[in-house]
Amino acid sequence: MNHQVRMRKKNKFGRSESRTAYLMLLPSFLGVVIFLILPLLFVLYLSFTQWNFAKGFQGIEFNGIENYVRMLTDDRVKTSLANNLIYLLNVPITIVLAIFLGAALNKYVFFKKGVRVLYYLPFISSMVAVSMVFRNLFSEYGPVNEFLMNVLHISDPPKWFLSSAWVMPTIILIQVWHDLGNSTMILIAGMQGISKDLYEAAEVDGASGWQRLTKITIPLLTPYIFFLAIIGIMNSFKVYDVIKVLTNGGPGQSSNVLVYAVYHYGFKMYDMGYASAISVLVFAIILIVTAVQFAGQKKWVNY
Amino acid sequence: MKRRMIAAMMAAALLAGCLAGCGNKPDTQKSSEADQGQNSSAGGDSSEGASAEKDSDEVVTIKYVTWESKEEKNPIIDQFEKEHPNIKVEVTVVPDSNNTAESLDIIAMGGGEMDVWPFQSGGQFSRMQQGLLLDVSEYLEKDGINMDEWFGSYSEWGQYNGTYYGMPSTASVGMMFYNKDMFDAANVPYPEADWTIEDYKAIAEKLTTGEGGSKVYGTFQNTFPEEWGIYGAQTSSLYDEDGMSNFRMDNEDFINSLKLRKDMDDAGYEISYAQNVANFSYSSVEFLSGRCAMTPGYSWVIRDMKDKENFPFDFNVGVCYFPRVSEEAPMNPSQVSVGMLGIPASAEHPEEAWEFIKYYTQYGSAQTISDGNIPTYQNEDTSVLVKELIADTSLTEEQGALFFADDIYTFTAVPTGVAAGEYATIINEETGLYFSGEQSLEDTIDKIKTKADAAIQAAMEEAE
Repeated sequence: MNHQVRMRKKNKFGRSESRTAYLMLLPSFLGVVIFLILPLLFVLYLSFTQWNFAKGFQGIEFNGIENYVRMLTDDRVKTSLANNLIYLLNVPITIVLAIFLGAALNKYVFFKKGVRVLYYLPFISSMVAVSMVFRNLFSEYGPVNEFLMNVLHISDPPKWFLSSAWVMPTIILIQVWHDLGNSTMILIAGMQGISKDLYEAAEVDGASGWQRLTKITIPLLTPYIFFLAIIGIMNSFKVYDVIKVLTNGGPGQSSNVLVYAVYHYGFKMYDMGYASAISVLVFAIILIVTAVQFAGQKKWVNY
Repeated sequence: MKRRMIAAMMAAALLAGCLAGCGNKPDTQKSSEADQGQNSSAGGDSSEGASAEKDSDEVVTIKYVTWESKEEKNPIIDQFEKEHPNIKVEVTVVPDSNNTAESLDIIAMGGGEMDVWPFQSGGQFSRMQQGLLLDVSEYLEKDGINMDEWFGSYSEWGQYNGTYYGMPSTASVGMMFYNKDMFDAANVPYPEADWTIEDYKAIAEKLTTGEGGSKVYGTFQNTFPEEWGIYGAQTSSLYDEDGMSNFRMDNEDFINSLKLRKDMDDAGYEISYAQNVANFSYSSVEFLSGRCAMTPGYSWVIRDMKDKENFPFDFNVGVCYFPRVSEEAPMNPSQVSVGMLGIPASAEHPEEAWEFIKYYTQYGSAQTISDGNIPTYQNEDTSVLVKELIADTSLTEEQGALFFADDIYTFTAVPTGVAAGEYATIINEETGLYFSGEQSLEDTIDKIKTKADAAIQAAMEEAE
């Protein structure tokens, strides 16, 4: 008996345990391969073809980098890229608001837990449902504009998502409202990990509230901020549902984003090859931005 | 040893569970578009198609996918199944929304999930262009059907480039509906038979009353993509003689049509375009609730007039044809758009689907009319159809007959030629910017012409 136990302890994973481990991983691995890796490779292949998918698989015609060349001069893609970059603003806005909100919720509010739940509720609501409600709220004679006109006496309130100038700010507003709760919770969790001794020492040295926030809290929160920034930027490039429900890309093309362009070319114009090329572009952008962020983290993230 | 066996069995069970999740049968009632898309690829071979064997008494099930929830209870289906005991019809209803056409596209392309494919108002043309539908010429020949005899002028809605791909189904006939009580109260005479858009604007001004929440508008115009042109397209085609876009500053009809809407919006005679887009509203809602005095609607308003539960109203309704875009335009203009029943190119049971489409078209008129839709099949007694149409509404026979008159001048503002899909998108986007006040008329016309010409050019080059 002892001898066998000693034998098992010699190699860290005995052969039998190793095989069990692989078998356990197999279903998940198969799922990832079939539903993630293979379609990804297929899309990459499709981006070099012209495919009217109504014609079935026989309709795939290889056409080299023609799709990518077309992207360079396509107005809709240029507008979409510009809109995605504008939309990125929702990430810093959310993080800054979350820092202040988190600091406040961490210290000053009664019914802390209840208030936190209230702030978290938007995040767990379906973005589609949220968009429909905001569509009503921000319509030309809707509650928000009625309030602005009758209570604040602003005679010509903006047309929000019905005006090409205001549509992206309106969408950013909706996204910030939706995501604020989650970011705040994460930063509060981070703040609770900061030792109170630091604050006490700072107070003794005569630091003001603002200095405590900027010199202690924020530097120690940088890992969490980094996490929020990475996730936020990745999700920003993938935004689609709020655009589709709220404006359908309009007015004109002023709220087109890259994923909406993929939908437009793929499902309305049946041009799957070009749509795949645009989605490869989205993939490349996210990859590069994330790589740059990871490289830059040494400069500003304190672990 | 024992541990290994248990581990292996658990892994196998997990694997089986995952694969069973992908392979289930598609459900038949109220499936969402996402489910249909996934199930059609994974569950295709486990569906009822397996029951269709070589034996000729074997019962074949054809799949009729539609957005009209009424079709589940349509008596025509039972009638058809009685007369064709070897064919069963399985009705699947998808949600009716802005994206219904696209969900049906995906189901049809899935292969094996749809045998009968319905279209609304001209949506069939881009699908015929893409080759998604089955060419039914050989069935027409075998059955000796003369499409002109069956459908008259509606027959062109079932064909593309000279080839037939299905049968025209229901027609949406444009008609101006007006609230006689409001006209009487304001002492305004009813619209004359030869009225023009100038008269229309003048009447709308007189009938706009009130402010704020209780405001009653003179008129309400829909914001469907082709509604900008219900006046302009009466005398002007969307394509010029060279096949390019016909949007230019010297095209008075288009200009007047666009300006009419913008002027009425700005003057407050109708709910503004932007507000309209935000509300998703349409003719029946605004007119039958008494919020406007007139609306250029379609025959489906009658369908809603019969629906006393959702659209109760208690005023006298008048109907007349659309106002003419100018004095030179033909009389009795009506924008007509017609749907179609087709067969997907990938259908599993095309012959049985064709039998159903034929039967539905020939004998389904009564049901279609009682739902307030105009059937396209010509070999029916018009007076019977008129009676069915006005049943349960307060319209007179004379008013009902307008929908079937021989001298209706029909036109459409839906592009049906080269690059139809892109042309429609361009028009919709640019006119939207104009109506919301973002862009001037000159810029709008310019941009439509430039972009549409480029799209038409590209499509023509590709076809070579």
